[in-house]
Amino acid sequence: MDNREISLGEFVKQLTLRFTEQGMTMPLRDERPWHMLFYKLKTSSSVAGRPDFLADLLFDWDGPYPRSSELAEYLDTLHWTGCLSASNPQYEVVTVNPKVSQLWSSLPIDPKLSSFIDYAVQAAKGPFGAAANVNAPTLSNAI
Amino acid sequence: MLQHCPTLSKIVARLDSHLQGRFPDFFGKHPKHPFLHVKPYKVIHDSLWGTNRFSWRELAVIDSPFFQRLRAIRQVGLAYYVYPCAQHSRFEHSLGVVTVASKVFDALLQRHLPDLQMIARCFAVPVEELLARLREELRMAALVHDVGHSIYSHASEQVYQELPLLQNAVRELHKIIGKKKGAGEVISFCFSRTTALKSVLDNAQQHLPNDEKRKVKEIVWDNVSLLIVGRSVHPYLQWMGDIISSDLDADKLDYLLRDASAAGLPLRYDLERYLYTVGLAKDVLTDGDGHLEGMYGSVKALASAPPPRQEATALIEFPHYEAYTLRLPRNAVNTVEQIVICKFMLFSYIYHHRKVRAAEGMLGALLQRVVAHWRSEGKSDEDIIEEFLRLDDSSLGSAVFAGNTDTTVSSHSSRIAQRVLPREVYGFVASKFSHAEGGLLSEFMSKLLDRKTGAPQDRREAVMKQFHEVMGSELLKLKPGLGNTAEEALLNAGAWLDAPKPPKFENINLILGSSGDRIPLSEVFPIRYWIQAYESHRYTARIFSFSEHVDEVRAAARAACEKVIGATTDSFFDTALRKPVS
Repeated sequence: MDNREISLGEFVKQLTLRFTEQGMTMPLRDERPWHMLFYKLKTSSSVAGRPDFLADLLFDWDGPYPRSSELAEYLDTLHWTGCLSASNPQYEVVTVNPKVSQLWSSLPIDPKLSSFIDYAVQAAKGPFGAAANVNAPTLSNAI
Repeated sequence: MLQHCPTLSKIVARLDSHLQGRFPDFFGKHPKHPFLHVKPYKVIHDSLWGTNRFSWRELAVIDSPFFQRLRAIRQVGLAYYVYPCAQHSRFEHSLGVVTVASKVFDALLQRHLPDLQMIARCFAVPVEELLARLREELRMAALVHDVGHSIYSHASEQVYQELPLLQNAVRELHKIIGKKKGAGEVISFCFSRTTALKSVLDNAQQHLPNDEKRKVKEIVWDNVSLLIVGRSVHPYLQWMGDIISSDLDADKLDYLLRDASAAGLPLRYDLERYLYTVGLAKDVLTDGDGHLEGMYGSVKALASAPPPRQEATALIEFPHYEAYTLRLPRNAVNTVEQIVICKFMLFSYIYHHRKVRAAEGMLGALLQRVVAHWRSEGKSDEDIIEEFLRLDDSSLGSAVFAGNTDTTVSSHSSRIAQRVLPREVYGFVASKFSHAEGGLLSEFMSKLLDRKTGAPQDRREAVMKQFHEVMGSELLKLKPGLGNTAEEALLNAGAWLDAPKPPKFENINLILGSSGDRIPLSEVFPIRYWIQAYESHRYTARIFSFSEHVDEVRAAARAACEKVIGATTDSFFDTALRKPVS
């Protein structure tokens, strides 16, 4: 799978695998870090291996941060289909279901795309780290 | 506004020629209607909202044949095959949205007059005059928000939204307004930009009694167009766009109650409480891509200069506008819960009912075949949009369908008309598969919902294609008489994999609270849990078949599941099997 072929869904899946490998927490209830990350990836047009679908991902400017409805819907889908599970009562964070992680990790990934996913993981460390700390000041509670 | 939007401009021009050519007595250069004087207003009674008054301007639109065609387009498509009384049309829904939007506006006027007066003072227009005008613009936007619909509403929208011209138009509109809207909304937006519409209104105005003619105040059409797609000419008027198209808009407030009531389902929410609590909040609209700057700069706004765009700050990471938005306070949470439950239940009872899906799936396949036929005749996307605008629910018996030389089209349309619908063979519900193959099903369903984002790669399309190829080839082996190709075999057996779009719970991002007090809905009630529970237990991907081919389709579908999903055990298929009545 290379950057021309990969879809939004496949990319999210590969990203969650890397987050899991790196021990990063993945927010669910607070979607903001996901949208901020994907907006950053969309605007990182000079980074090698950037998936083509990102250029066409549309963001709505309806609030304090850009929001992609396709991304939000797909995160929900991964949750209710059981690919991602949230055992915590408030649905703050999700983890990858081990049964599907084996399926996802069997997908061959082109090295350029793989390095872009690494870039995405690094870019996520800021917003995802802040989301893990519920007391950290965020835009939404600053307005 | 459409200066750099060739696709939208093309659609507007085509709509103009369509309206003028098809309805010359109304939209032509020498219209015959109205014959007599136009009344300043009329009263229309609605089954939900009672007696309501419509102005001469609204009546001119309502009486035009382009709007009247909505009488023949059912609001909930083919759901009346399951709920016999669900025969209500887009026509009455559109009138209902006008009434609800006015109720919301009037509630704001009654309870938040100082805020509205403060907003109005920012513009160089007397406050009362401005508020009266905004109310008219809001009602006009509500009235025409659905004129883009075609045969059986969303069932046909699923087909024409795939036209490249409309996909380009969606992207162009996104560049103007900074948010993504559907194909139907794009057509309604374009309709509001036509000169044909303006000429109908000018003509109606000429037929007003002289004393009424003198009282007429112009409305700002740029604002009407933007309201249809959830924006407005100024960020201080964003709340108006929210009333027409947002998380809890007048459209939703009408259709939830209308669909439930028409189907005879005891679902209700408390509109009075909504109206009692709805308010305005000072907010920001961020504008990182500069779309809003372009929009506010290009429209005919009320103020003498475009609104000032603020630079990014430490807390607001993007350039932004100060705005007033529609907001429900924290104590309105019960109303919001009722609305969310209503929506869940309507999906479960009506929109995703297996027989409704069976009928609409057949109609979708039929329309795709008709579109392919139009293409083979050399018709462009613009021609095809026009063809769709000629269709309504009565067209099923017309030359396009029943009289089509393509026997599949004619036989399918007869089956739909006679309600000889396919039956469910297998149904896949995520929560039912807890054994070892549950992971395979989770992964398969997640692929089915990995939709196109504009790029050529579409995982859903690829998986569907693979599934249908295997199922069709197996069908041909089992019953060679079904056709010459796998695709023909599937069509003739009425066999397909149906994976509808799950309900979109945009409400999850809804913000409660007043100015400076932003509370996401998920903080005050367990909406995530509800979504997870509902989708896991109710959402069903199904395989359908005509009754006379059930046995072969069941075997072919099993082969496709084994190959594409990887599931092989009998227990997997026993769980998914829709057991026949014995």
